[in-house]
Amino acid sequence: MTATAIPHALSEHEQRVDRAKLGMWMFLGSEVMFFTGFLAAYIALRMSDPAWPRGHQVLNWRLAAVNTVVLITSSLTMALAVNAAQRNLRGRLRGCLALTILLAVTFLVIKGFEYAHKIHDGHTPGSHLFYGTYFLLTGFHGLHVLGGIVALTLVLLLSKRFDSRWNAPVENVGLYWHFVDIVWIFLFPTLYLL
Amino acid sequence: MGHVASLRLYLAVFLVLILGTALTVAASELNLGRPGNITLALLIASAKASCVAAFFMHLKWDRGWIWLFVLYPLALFCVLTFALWPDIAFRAGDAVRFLGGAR
Repeated sequence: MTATAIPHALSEHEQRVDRAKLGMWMFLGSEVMFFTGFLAAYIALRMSDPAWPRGHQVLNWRLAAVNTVVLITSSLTMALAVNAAQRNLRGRLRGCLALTILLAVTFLVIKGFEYAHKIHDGHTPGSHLFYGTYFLLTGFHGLHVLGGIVALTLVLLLSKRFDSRWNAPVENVGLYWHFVDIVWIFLFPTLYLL
Repeated sequence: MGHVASLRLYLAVFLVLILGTALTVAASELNLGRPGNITLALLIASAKASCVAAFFMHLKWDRGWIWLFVLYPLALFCVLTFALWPDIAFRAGDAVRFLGGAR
């Protein structure tokens, strides 16, 4: 619908789609507050310790940079998936969703290597407040990635139901996925570079 | 039923995001002092996040109630984090001492 289209009353179907999307945005609003609490704890602890370690000296920022690119690419494939659904291109929708899932799994595998290395070196959530906040923030972000993989897989399995008229689940899982990407965009410099 | 954007736009946003990531890493190598480095990193991250929200999440084409649920949590985020500043400025060290020296 373009801005010049003649205004008309929304059909019941269109209203339902709008409500679903609004609901997803409300959920994302609560998710912002979920991460804000942890981030506030991180800021307060970091600021009150002059000897707080520098992320780039103790963490593997190169691995995290690769993971940033992986997640940004998955955001692109997700946007393309929504676009494919809107254009009725079901094959492309499936391909893009599958790619998004694959990139999400790649992110978690890389994260797993990072965690294994840290734990092997004796860095656990209890070893230092720095690692406490590091595992808290990246751990809850990782759980969100895991939840995203489940949701994306469900949407992929149901993909034959979606077309240009009805694709609200694709659009909404997309909103969630981009949110997970945005959280990482902030976590990467905060934890790994500064 | 949702804005249908062009593939070229998505690719352009993707390239900007990759460039932003490289910029983030490069900026962290600069020696601007701690506050300078933190400010620059957060500015770049905010720009990247805005790109994702505006184009990938279609906020640029959204109107109405959705913006309430975008702006309200962002305002709360600012209130909660900035409300910490007096404590950090005047009581620095308390949290770490309270938690047993942090080591």
